[in-house]
Amino acid sequence: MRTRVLGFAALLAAAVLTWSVRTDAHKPITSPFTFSDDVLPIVKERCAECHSPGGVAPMSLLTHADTVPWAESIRVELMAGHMPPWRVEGAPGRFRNLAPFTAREMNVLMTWASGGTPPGKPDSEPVAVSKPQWTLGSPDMAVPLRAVTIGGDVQTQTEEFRVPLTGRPLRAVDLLPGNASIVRRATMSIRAIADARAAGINPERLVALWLPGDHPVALDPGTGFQVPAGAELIVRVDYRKTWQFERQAVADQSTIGLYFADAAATEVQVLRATNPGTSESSAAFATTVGEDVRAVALYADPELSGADVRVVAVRPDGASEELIAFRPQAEWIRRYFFREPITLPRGTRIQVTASFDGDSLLPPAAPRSELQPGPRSLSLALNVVRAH
Amino acid sequence: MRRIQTLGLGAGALLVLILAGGVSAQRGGQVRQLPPVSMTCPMHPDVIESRPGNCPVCRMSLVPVRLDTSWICPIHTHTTSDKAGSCPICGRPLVEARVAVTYTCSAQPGIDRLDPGTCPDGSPTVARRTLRPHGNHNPQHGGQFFMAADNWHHVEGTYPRAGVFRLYVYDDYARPLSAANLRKVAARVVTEERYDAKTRTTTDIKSFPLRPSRDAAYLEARVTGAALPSEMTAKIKIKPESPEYRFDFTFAAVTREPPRATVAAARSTSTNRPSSAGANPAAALTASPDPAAQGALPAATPIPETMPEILAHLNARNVEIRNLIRDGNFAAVWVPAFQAKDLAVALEPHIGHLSPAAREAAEPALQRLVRFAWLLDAFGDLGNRQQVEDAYAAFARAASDVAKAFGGTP
Repeated sequence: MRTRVLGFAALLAAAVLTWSVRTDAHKPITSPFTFSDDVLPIVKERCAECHSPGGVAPMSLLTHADTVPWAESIRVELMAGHMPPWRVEGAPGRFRNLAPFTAREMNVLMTWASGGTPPGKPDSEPVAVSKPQWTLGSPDMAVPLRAVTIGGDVQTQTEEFRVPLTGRPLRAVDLLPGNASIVRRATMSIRAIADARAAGINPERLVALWLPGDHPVALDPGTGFQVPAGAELIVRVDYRKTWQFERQAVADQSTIGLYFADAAATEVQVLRATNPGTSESSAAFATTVGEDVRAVALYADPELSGADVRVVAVRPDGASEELIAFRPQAEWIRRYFFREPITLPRGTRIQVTASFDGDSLLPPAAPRSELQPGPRSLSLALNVVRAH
Repeated sequence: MRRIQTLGLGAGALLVLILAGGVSAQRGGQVRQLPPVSMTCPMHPDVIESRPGNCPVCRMSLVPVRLDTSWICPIHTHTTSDKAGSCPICGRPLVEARVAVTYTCSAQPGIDRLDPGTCPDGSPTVARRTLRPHGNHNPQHGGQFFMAADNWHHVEGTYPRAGVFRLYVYDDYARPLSAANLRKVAARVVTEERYDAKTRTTTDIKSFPLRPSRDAAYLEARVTGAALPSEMTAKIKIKPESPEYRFDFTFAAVTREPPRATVAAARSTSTNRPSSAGANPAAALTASPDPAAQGALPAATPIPETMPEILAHLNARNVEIRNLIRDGNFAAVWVPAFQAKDLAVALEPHIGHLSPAAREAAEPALQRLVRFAWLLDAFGDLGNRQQVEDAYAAFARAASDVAKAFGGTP
């Protein structure tokens, strides 16, 4: 059923969709797209992992009644490029774990949200959303974490868990939330006990960043994160309750999934470009590749949140290649895996520019005074493997 | 851009427009199709549903409404017609606006029905057209018309003669603010300013206070040193507690009030009540030339089928947007912007014909083009040149990337 079966629909369609060239300021748009026929299929495919009953997002978008009050927010978030939250400029196709909206999908959602939010067919029960599952298949080892209860008077909480490792290299680490509605993000790092005693050295090595709706990527066969003997996996889980659970105690018991690499796997290393500290609104820093490597992934440290970041590889022969241009969002820091590893010969300069200025299209999420209370270190990491 | 919003929509505040010589459902033996019934919220008029229920915003019961477009006088908004024409009062060309249609009786205007029928005295009901909020975004004095970011107020800037900038401030129905409210507006017009990119702030170099006219119909400032074409920025706080809004105006020439060709003939017919047959404004309206016949509403142009044609049209729309922005005609940008995004969507199925590398570039470029077209639409309403230009720069980059990916001329 069409919601906006309006008398002027035909006129509006003529004005907007069939190329009338009147230039009135008024834009009486009426969406030809309905929720049931056009919007819901996109939402189910793209958004339902979080925006569903029991999901981590504060609202479900699986029925017309649930979605309509958020139409204006949807419009604004899409226009600002905030959703999906890990947008990159340039070619997303070069990354394995990016699937942005198509032009048509973007247009359908915007037109519907701006044009009267017609429902189409009456709402049925929200489509069933499958429970979280291991998207990489069953892990080689599943380790339940201890149960956690978030008290009724607590809105956010961070818990740290220690998981013993066997010394086998890892291809991937995943997390299966026990209660998907409150597990907001997690970081998984290897802590080498021996290294921890070395003063001034970060004893932890990041192996996975987990976010709701962001499927993990396993390293290619033959490569892996090395695990020193006696090392353990440090899992930090950020819990956050949405308004639905205010003043309620909510429990979770998540499970960690370990995916092992061959014992002889080539080590995945970290190549880091760091700015020792700046208060400026923009910064440029670089590092040099010390041996022939292939870059398999990259990620920004949280301090780069809100900045427009551009990473360029300048090879010894002078040829330059943009590796990524993006604006990391504080709540959505994740790792970007290249679809094809990028060869970086020894001597390649990895140049990073970061600007916190924002622009009138995407103003900074917070005043710069809050973003940069003082000199801060900025860092971007590449995961690389030695070239054969 | 319309938004769901809370409107203080008291029934008494509605502009009740009784069409003089109104269009009944049946006139001259010709049945005029009734606008279909939709359901709307009494408090949130942007909520439009096709069946009964509750407002998703405030949960009030939805009420039936027949929505239609109508032609109204930009100045005398109580004058409406079902066709294009001129205002019987001032002679200005009528403009399109969104209205709700109900049916009343000439002798008993208190009657207000959803369906046409017969009055107690046996006469047929006449149509009553009620202007909807944001139903009229047309300039009323030949100037440039923008919507404030509060999504409630509207402004129109004019440059009626050398050295004079005039600002009209309207409510959500595009009605002038009352004199009392206009006097609360704090505003200035800035002809020179400095922008600090680091702090993203502007400092006025040359500004002039906007003061209410004697009849409080508008705000006006004497501007010195302005030569046409001229760019001026109105910075206004509608209420003391409001944020300051910025509106960028570009005047290529002195603003002219809309023509009043038939004012003399029509003035005697001025009325906001159903008129007698002897002074029937509808007659003047009926006699007005049809703008469609004059080419004011060109025939619809379909989206071309072939890729080169689509690219050529896309390039043309890009140029059109650029020219509109150059001329400061921000409010019109949405038309070519929407046409461009429809072209981008039409191009998407052609991606399969591209090489993998070109496809990799084309997909995100098309998506960006759609996104920035919508942003141009949103910013065009608000009249902030910096925002519009930034959105266009991003749009133009996307259009260029699309053209390159598809092998066209950027």
